[in-house]
Amino acid sequence: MPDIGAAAARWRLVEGVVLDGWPDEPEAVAYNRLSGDLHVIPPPQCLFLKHIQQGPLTTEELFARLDVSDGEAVRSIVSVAGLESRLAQLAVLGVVAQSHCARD
Amino acid sequence: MNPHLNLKVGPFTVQVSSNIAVVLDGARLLYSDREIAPPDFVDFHISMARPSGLRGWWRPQVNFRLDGHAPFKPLPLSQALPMFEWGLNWCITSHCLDYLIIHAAVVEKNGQALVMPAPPGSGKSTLCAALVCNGWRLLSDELALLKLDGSGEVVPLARPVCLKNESVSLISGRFPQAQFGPVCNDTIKGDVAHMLAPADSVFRVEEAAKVQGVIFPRYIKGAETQLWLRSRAYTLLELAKQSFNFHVLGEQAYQVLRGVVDQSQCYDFHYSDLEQALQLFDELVDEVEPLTGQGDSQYVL
Repeated sequence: MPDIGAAAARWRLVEGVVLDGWPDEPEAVAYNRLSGDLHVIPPPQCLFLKHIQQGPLTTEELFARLDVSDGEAVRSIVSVAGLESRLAQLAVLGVVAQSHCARD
Repeated sequence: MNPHLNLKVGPFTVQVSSNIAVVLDGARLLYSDREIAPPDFVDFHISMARPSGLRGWWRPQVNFRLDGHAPFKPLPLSQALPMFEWGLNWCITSHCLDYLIIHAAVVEKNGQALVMPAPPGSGKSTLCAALVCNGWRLLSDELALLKLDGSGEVVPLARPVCLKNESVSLISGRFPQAQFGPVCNDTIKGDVAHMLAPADSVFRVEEAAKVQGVIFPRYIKGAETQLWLRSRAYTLLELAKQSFNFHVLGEQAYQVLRGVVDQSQCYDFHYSDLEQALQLFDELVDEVEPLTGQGDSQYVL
């Protein structure tokens, strides 16, 4: 049996969520093909999702990937706790969820 | 069977039966040239009749029925014609899944269709009426029927434009060529009258048009005429909110809206001066250049 307690909780996109954006706009949209829910995702949350879309990440791993060159909105995320709070907002919307899973 | 008439309204066939003269006469007036021979298939069988009993005669009322079912409470008999129009809106929005239906006006000029979603009271219908009296083609005042095939086209309805209160005299005074049905007073929306669709719009009712712009108009008394770009993301969200069947059609509807905002310029528009609004729209249709290929503007995270 795998020891799931040993695996860190990682953020992933909720099943069915697709992300779309436009190169000249800071916002993106998240559409859930299963529920039909549609949300506008403001910066910097859409940048979080871009990273998470590559594969599940812990909050710490995501924090390490944020780059100040990504803009003012990202520079406002100064701590892991602050990032966790923003991710929790996305979780409430049903866009991301945490699970104990190893990275691909 | 009551007297009836069959109408071709955009892609729909409608049979209206009524023993109330104002209903059939009014429908013939509003949909002149749309009466057809009995078709093989009718989308909506509508009947309008006085209720049985006292309210059929004392302060008489009228019932709207679709296939014998009365979805609404009766209205005063004097409001029979507006009730027919509002009831037909309900028939289309509640039963048609062949299109993504948005609460929006749609007008077209030089092959460029503009979708104008807006809540009641925003001045959408007044602006729409002024535009179609000023050379724009009317596709719809109330319901945008977006094709589901990915073409980004709107199918015309070319139904009458419902104007309320001061807008009736404003449009009839500014555009004396406009033809109206009777004014109906003291409805839930105030005094209303329906402006007939221009003959050219009716003639071209089978000619779909590709959406090139999405504009959210808002009349604000005393406001300057202002037009500014709007986020595509928020435009997509608002179009979904203004849709009647987005949630029913699911991902197909999302892809339709995604395509529409990809191929469109999206704007917010505030106005109070109708002349300036008309001038700006004419300039806009000269400036809007269609984006080539959805892939060019698509950015997938």
